[in-house]
Amino acid sequence: MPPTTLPTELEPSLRLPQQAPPSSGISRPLHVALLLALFCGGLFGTASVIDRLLPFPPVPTVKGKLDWFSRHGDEYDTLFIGSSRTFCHIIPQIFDRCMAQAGMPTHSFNLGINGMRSPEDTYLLEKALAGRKAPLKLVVVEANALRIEADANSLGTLRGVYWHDFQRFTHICRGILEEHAGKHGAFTPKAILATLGALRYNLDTTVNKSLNVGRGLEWLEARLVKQEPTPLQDIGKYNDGYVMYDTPVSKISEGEWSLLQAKLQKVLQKPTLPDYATRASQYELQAKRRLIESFGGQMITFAPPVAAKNVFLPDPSVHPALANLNFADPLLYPELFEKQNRFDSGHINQQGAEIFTRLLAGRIAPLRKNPSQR
Amino acid sequence: MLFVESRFFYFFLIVFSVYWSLSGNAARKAWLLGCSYFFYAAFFLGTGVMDGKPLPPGWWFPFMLLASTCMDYVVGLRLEDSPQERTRKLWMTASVCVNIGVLLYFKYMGFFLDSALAFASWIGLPASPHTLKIILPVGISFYTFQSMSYTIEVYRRHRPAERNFLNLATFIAFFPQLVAGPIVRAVSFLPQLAQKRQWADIDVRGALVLFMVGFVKKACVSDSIAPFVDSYFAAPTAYTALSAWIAAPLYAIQIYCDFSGYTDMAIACARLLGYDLTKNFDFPYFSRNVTEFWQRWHISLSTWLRDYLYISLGGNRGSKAFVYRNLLLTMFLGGLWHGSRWTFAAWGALHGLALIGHREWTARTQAWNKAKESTAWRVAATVLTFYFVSACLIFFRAADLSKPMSGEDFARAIHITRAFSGLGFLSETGGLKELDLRLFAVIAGLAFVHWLNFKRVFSTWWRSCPEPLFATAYGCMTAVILLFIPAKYAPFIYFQF
Repeated sequence: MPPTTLPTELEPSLRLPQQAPPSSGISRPLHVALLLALFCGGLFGTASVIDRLLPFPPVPTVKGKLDWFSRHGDEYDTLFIGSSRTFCHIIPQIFDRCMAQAGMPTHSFNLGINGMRSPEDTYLLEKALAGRKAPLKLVVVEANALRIEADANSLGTLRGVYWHDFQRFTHICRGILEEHAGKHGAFTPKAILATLGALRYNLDTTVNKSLNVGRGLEWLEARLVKQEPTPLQDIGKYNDGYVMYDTPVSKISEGEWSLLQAKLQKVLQKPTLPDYATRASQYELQAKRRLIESFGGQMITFAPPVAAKNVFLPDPSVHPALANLNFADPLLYPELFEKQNRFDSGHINQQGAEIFTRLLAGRIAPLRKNPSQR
Repeated sequence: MLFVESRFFYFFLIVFSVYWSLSGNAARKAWLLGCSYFFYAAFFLGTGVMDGKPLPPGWWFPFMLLASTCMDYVVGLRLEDSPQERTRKLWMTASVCVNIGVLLYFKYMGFFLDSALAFASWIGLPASPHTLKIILPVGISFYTFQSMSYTIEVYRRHRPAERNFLNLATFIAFFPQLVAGPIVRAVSFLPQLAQKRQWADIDVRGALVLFMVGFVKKACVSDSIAPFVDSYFAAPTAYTALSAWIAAPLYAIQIYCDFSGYTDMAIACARLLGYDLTKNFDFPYFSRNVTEFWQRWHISLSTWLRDYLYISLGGNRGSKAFVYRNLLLTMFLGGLWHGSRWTFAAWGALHGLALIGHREWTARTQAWNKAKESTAWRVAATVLTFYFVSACLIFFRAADLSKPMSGEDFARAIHITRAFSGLGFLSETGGLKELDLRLFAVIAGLAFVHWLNFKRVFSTWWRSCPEPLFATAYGCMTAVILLFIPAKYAPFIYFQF
């Protein structure tokens, strides 16, 4: 009968049993726990040191904007942050002009990124403001509920991982559990599995981010492959972070227009309801506010011009003195829902963006004059 | 569920913790068996269950594994209990036929139909393309061979029949080696199952280091090389002849790192649970001839083929022609074991011819034995063997498994072989693109590290350092390794076989 102990290619034939437990009186479980703690210390300690040495990951658009902002951030006193409904809807040049006319000059920068929602926006804001010396005046934040599910477009990509640190992990876990608890039939196997799946994805992504998975390879590639200079197309023509759509007046397709009309009809029949989402979403907004206020800035939130059944808004009981501007009302802002001003059912075009920016400045100016006004 | 995925890490953590917290051997084996079936089912269920989607058609494959185990259990008992040799032979034949039949149906039905249709159309008979679509259950070739080894061993009276069903089922379904080997022999594994494993006997450090090495081979080396190899083999005619000199050795490195990396991780996982699996690789690319290569490459398959096929065919007994026929047939069938493509068969046949050639060469050059021991000869022989193995692997890789079998596979293989042999340089046409020449440096670097490992440079220091230092260093090394893994893992190459 052949021996049951067979050497492997990578080991000499000599096999050693594990060392005996220490004779210092420590029990075996405690000994194992100590070794595990040392392993984790080595793992996360080294990863943390490496993280400090590595540059910001090359996330499309984000890196370009952040690189620019880290060099020139102090020149700007006003920021807009949010998704494509910020990135493509707010034109800093027009906003600054309107604010100057109202006697409150600003120099603003659009930090919006396509598909960016909470808590990614808070992370980006933290990074953008890190090391800032000049005070802030204003940060206009697109109000978004906390995204607890994985974004299908950025699943497994650098974009889906770069912001997923431990702080974001805890916020999302809270959001997932809150959502689960509030669900009808929360204790059915299907609901439990779905919640566990969401928690696992959240944990995996956080581990990926914390342990810099693949970042060395990406760093090596950046050194081996000829690098293009930071693309200035992310910053825009006027270095204000705004990039317009392909043409000044992009026409909405007939299909998208029908879709928008159907949505508008529903909204007009049954007015849009405020959606305060989970407490975790509200606390995330609060974290953003604290950050902005620590730089001397004022946070103002806005709901973009979309036709939706529910629109996420800051909960007045959590944010008693927070200014929020709701543009998701087709009765109040019909021009933002007109065919010639739309790009698609969810976005306005360049012409719409000009109108929207003026409206936004028009609403913000009085708030700056009298901050107690909501 | 791949070994390099985080979900395997969670899975193994649960398996490991529960396994060692159970006190009875039967309870541990039952737990392992349940986990092994879950592991196998995970390949077919995917995330479909969580999304509430209907299950994919392969949901019943784990039941097929169970049915195969039941059959082998019954056959094993009958083989032992039957006094008459004739009855034993009948049971044995029935078992082999069923096992091979299942393998033939799932793996080769499409191949036979394709080949028959191609032949029919070649001789001018009317033939219409068939629409038979059969899903290949992951790991079927591995566990079929493993269960066959059990019945053959019982038949040959090398071991008694296993009367404990739990033992036999755990042996066949043991998850670390279920889907891509190594093909474990009943004679070495079943005795391990009979005894309760003791935590104190486990070489934890060895297992952890082995897992890390396997992980590096698979996730850092193989998966990083894969995009270059894939782009070349997808359209070799778009590349220059020089690119073949990069792509062919790179593929040899990729497949070695992929498969031996998987094996290392499988052996390490098994070892952490107290079981030893069969050695599968022994630095094959440092072989000095093709015979030695087959003693070092996929050892569990090559020894299986030797013991159960080559010897059954007659082995070395008989005339030279008879022995060479056996050798060629064994290697040809060994090639086909990898998949239902003529390119796999060609790969096996080339190795068979090379083994015959080497036997002849050895017999005729005995006078040179002293010269063969010189360093220059050894280096030249090693390089030549690696070159030959890489050239044969072109046929292995040329098959586009995502498409039905066609003459394109061979055309691709021949084009690359021409370029790799140097003929392509003389008549280079078409190809304009060049694979990055810096990959030569990568090949050299990997070869150097591998050589250092061959010389056991890394093998001992970590065994003698204090446990706290080992644990911390292991954590630090893990952090460094994770830096160099690509964002997405490629499935293990040998899963498809």
